[in-house]
Amino acid sequence: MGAAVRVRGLVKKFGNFTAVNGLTFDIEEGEIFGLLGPNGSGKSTTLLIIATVYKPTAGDVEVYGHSVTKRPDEVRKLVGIAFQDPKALWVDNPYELLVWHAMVVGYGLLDARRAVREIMEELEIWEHRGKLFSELSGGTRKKVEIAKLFLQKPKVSIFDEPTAQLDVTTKHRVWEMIRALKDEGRTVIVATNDMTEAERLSDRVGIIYKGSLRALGSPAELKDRIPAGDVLELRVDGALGEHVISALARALGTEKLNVSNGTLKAYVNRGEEKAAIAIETLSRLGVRVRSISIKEPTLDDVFFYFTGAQLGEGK
Amino acid sequence: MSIWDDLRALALIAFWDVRKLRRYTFFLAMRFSWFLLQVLVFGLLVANMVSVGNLDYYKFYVVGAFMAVLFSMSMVKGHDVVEEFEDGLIDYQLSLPVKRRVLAIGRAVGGGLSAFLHSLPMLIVVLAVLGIESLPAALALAFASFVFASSLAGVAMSVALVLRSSDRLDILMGVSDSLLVRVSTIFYPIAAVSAVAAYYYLAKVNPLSHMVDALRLIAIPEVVQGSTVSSAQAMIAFLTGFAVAAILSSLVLLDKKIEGGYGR
Repeated sequence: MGAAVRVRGLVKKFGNFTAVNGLTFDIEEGEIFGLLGPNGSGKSTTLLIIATVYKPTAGDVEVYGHSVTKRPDEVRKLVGIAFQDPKALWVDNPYELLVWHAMVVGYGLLDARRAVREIMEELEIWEHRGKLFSELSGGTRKKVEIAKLFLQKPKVSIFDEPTAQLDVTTKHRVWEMIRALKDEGRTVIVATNDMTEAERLSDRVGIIYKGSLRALGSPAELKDRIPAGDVLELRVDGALGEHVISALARALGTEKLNVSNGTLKAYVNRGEEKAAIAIETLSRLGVRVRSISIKEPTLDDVFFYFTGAQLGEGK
Repeated sequence: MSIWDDLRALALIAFWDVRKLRRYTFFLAMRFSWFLLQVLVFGLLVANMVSVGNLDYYKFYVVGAFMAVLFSMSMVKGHDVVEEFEDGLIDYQLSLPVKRRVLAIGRAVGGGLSAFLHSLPMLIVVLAVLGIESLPAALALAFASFVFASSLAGVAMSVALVLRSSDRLDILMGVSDSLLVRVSTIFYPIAAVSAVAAYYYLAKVNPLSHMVDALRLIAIPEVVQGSTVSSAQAMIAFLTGFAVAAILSSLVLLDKKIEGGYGR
């Protein structure tokens, strides 16, 4: 299968701020592509350009060969997006809004009503159908937003943080529904800052940070790309000073150290051997080690390795 | 996509504005009460104080008051658009599988239809006060009001999309309401303002003068015959040009310039 979406040299500026800075990548037809990055990294901007909501400052995106700058009307027939923030007026009621949406994307009235009922029941929001949008909880609003895309079922479905605000059970159901779109041969793009979501859903992941693409590949490939294959995780008493971190980096022979919430992570080769060195070094410096473990790298580690930042980090 | 698909999409987009009627319940009740007061109390008082030749100023005033309401209701559509921008709803609409020109025309028609429906109770009052019993005249008034409202709503929405700020829009709407309504023939016959050259010429080129006098020609031709801003043919030509310009500017704006991202 070929590329469903081709992003080439994409740049988007808002005044002096560069939100997206020269992105180039392909999204293959029929895959679930995860776009991973913290808030403000340029994920949503990229997705909104693919959905023709924003116009690129430079570069282009092609969806099944149609350019978003030259043939946006054609692109919109192929792409649908569920926004990060649910889009509705406070006076809307979910049922009427979804029926309207279904009709705009091509359903007849009766089919729209039937399909809306089905999707609302599946997402367990049917009992909220007659309420005002302003009366709905954050989770229910989010379900209404993603219901739009499950009704539309475009060739390229874009979900911007689809499970934010959803409970665990619903999160799993939504993941299943997203996988079902892929099983129908549709291409799915999921922007998220949830590592579990990216890992569970995505065939391939693009790591985006400060508007640039830092890594691209399947979750397994990205983990393999960390040259030091083990993650040493240490919990210590008290705060770790700069001199301790520097000494530890020297002793372990790595510059990839990450300290967060009293936990130090070091990306190293030969974890068992380096664990002993770490304990010895810290003891010598008077730091008491509470626990130490050696782990396989997660996507979180991959993200840190390629960006030097953590996902919780905002703009 | 066939022309029928486009027309279907246009109707659905237009319905977006119409379905929001219930959010205006209180606003409409206030407007309607104020209009009744304006027509049944203030209008009668003013008509007794003003004399413009043989003109029945009360009838002249009633149509003017309706036009002022229609203008105001249409301009409110600009506020709707700014609010939708703030709520991200314009982003949502820009993402729908609808041609941008269909979206532009649909919103203008929907805005016009909704402004017209908001003004309908007032139009019924006008018909009753003026004693218009002819169905063709009533339908012609309704149709003309709808067309004018669509043109004005299209302009208001375009301006709102450019300004993207409720504060800036408020200022502009306040100024335009003061200038456009006053420097027109909405409340003063063209003959009465001819003494002030600048006022006269501004009123002559003001689309609202042409709109209100066109409504008067339909509603009370015996009252305004020979005292409108232009001849019937000239008014039709002017208003057609205005509507085409309004729609074209909306189309170009939405198709070429507008993108999502309120506050970006």
